[in-house]
Amino acid sequence: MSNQEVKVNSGQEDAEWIGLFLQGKEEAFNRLVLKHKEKVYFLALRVLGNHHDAEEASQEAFIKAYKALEKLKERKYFFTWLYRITYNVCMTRKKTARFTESLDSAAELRDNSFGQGEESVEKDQLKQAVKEMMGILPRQQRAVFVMRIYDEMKFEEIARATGLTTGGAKANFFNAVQKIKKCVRAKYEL
Amino acid sequence: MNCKAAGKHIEQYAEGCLRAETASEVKSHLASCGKCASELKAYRKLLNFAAEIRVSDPGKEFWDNYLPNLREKLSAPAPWYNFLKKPLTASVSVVLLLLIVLAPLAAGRISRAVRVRKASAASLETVMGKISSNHEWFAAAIEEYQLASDASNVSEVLSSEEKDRLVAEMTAELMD
Repeated sequence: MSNQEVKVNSGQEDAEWIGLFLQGKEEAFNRLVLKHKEKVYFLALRVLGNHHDAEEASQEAFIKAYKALEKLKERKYFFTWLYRITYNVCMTRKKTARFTESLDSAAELRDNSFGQGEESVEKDQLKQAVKEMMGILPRQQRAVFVMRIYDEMKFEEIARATGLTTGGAKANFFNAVQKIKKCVRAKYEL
Repeated sequence: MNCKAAGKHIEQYAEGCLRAETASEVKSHLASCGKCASELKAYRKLLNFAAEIRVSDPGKEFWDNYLPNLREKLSAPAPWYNFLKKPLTASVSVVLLLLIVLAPLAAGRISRAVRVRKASAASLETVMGKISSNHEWFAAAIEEYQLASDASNVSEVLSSEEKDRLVAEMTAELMD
């Protein structure tokens, strides 16, 4: 089954659950949450950079979706709609904690690379440099970069999820890449 | 296509964002230019590193509690100020609040203005009355004075008691 077919089938399943929810079956919304919670949480985590804000933002996104579900016209595009809500919540949310994700994982990377070869250590350092640079990108660029790299979304899909134009999504992505590349090249040889 | 032109397109080429014609030119250049080919390689390496970066999973307990926590938030009563988050209701509320605060102030100013006007009218009436009555008194006094002038000597017309009374009355009226 192709990636596109998986997405379509997944969308149809969502549409069915939304139908049941709007008929009064609350359980159907639980299914939507259980299915999409990880993607929503990890988008928020990668954009906001700390667990506390990511948890709050992801739950806020589901609450907004719950309240506005009857207004959703294209039910099979529930996930794109939910992703857009999550993105908007992340863009408008005031951070309550610092971008700690990179720091936590720095320790993790050091632990993982202990006892490994020089090449592996250098690779981990490079990864860490990329991660630190991601942490200081503007939120919008970071969100676009995350959607492209981790969710493997097409630019058209990113545009739908963010409200940017396709050109705007590309511009944000390439700007993010340029910044990361410049920063990494200043320290390491690629 | 030279290295400078190709350099501008390498990342877009790697992401499949170029038009077929430009993509073909970049591809030909990359096949013959080691420097630009290594640029493309470096770009892919960078994105591979980025893709390999994992974020820490919050753990089983977090995921087990995710839905119950969400359900708890959904069933909690909305805070009383929640209506302010909706632009329309927030605007209407602000207008109503301004009306509630400013209406009594405006009403107070209006009633005070009416009171002042009424009071002014009443005192004007009194003053006019006084002027009118004084006018009669002054007219009489002036008439008497003129009569006296005609007689060329006031003291010849008025007795000393009348002169004293007239002075006393004039002083009293002026002092009033």
